[in-house]
Amino acid sequence: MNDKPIYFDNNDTTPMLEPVFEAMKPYFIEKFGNPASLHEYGAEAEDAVNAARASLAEHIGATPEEIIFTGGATEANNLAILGAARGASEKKRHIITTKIEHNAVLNPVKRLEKEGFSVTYLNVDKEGFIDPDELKRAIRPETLLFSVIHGNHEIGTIQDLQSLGDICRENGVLMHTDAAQSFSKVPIKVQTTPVDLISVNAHKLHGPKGIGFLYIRKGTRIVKIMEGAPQEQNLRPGTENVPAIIGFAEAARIAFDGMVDDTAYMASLRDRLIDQLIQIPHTHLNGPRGSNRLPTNADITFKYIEGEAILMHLSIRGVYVSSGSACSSKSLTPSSVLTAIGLKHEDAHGSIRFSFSKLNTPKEVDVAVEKVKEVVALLRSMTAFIPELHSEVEGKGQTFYKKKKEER
Amino acid sequence: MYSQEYMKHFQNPQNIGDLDDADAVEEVQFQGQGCFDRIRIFAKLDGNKLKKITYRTRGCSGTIASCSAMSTMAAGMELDQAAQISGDDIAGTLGGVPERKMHSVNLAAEALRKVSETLLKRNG
Repeated sequence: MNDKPIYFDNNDTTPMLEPVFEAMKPYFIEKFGNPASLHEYGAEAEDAVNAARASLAEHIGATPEEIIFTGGATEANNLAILGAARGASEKKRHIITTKIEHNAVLNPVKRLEKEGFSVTYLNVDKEGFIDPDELKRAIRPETLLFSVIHGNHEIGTIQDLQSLGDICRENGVLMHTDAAQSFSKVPIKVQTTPVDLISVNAHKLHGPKGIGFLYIRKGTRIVKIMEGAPQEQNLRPGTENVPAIIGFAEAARIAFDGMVDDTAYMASLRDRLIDQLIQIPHTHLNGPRGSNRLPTNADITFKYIEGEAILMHLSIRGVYVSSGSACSSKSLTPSSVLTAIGLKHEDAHGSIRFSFSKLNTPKEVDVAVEKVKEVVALLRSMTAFIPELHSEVEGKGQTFYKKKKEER
Repeated sequence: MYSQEYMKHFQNPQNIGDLDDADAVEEVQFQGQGCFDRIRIFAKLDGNKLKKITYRTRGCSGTIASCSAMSTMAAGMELDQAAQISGDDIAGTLGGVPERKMHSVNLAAEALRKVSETLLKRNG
């Protein structure tokens, strides 16, 4: 095992950078003020929060007033979807989303469905793309909102927000995007991209956990979903998490400063891994290749074995990844994203997500590839249920598979 | 997250593989939604006792560890005793398993019960 684990789970969370931590530090003890307070400590905190807000807004071409800090992207998604629904007229009771959303979108939408909204879940193609014509067909006079994930958290597919947003705009439908994975990896400028609501967080870009924002285009009607004091333009009550906001802005500043080089570098790591792993027999990539895929993401199915067992063996060998398998969850249902792109449930269970940050190296990729090959061979040697290796024959009154040839 | 015993059986599963002179071979597959864990179990008899149990599996860490524990528990047991081994018994041998892995211990117990009952029936 390497001295230091190889961390390929950056779509889950990223390590915070030292400069981010340094930027946050003063706001825990010395500059601890509440931005709502009227004394100097309060003013100091308020100024810092406003500067962070302005800096974050600039990355997407928004104005500071259009940025509402939240406790992360999940809360931003809830505020966008529930807030838009609560603020809508009785005539607007239809929502469109997709079958590849994160639970932070699917579950608020399902809540609205229980409350009487009708919901259309758009299909995707085998690479995870939405057909704009299907969106067009789904829109009705009562459609309020279309919510779509920008860069998919499991299979990396990047949706064309421009063409989808144009359709929404032509039809008077609000468009929300969950950009938790794509922020600082794929540019969005709200002057040109017709999207009204954008959810973002900090911990996917080497910032702190527990902080995010919702961009709300000026003029978009959103109603608060939590009661309290009138912080964040009376849309998100509760004292602002000042250190986290400062850390978020610093993490984003660093990420956007290095965006061109860093995304190219991460994409090279991604492709280096994919090119080697798809050489393993009975293995395929989920999601597209090339520029329409998040530079941070590779998702691969290793048929005939269980993803959770792969993950555990890799973890023992110091390679940390995640799995589309549900064997580590109580429900035992596999990833709905993988089944939405047409994977059989059985194959979805054999899927592993490798996700990268700029802190990873080509050497780590090569070491991880060797470990993956070792683990896949080991687990396949344990099974007797590989159709290409084991033929079904009749024996002793019962059907069973007999070993056909030497296993790898 | 998992006990030392669980990790030991998962990392170094005991008695895994085919048993060419098996007296009985059976298969079980998880019957709930979503999970595809599957076990083929091989049993060799010595009189009315199980001389050896081996298995092949497509499964998660829980199923691999459970099969390994089950195979060590069953060796030397009377058939009717082996048929009584429960998922909870296997979980106990593994030093306890989380709720989400109960399907694994239950599947391994089902495999052992199935092959034991087949042999009991055959032996009259």
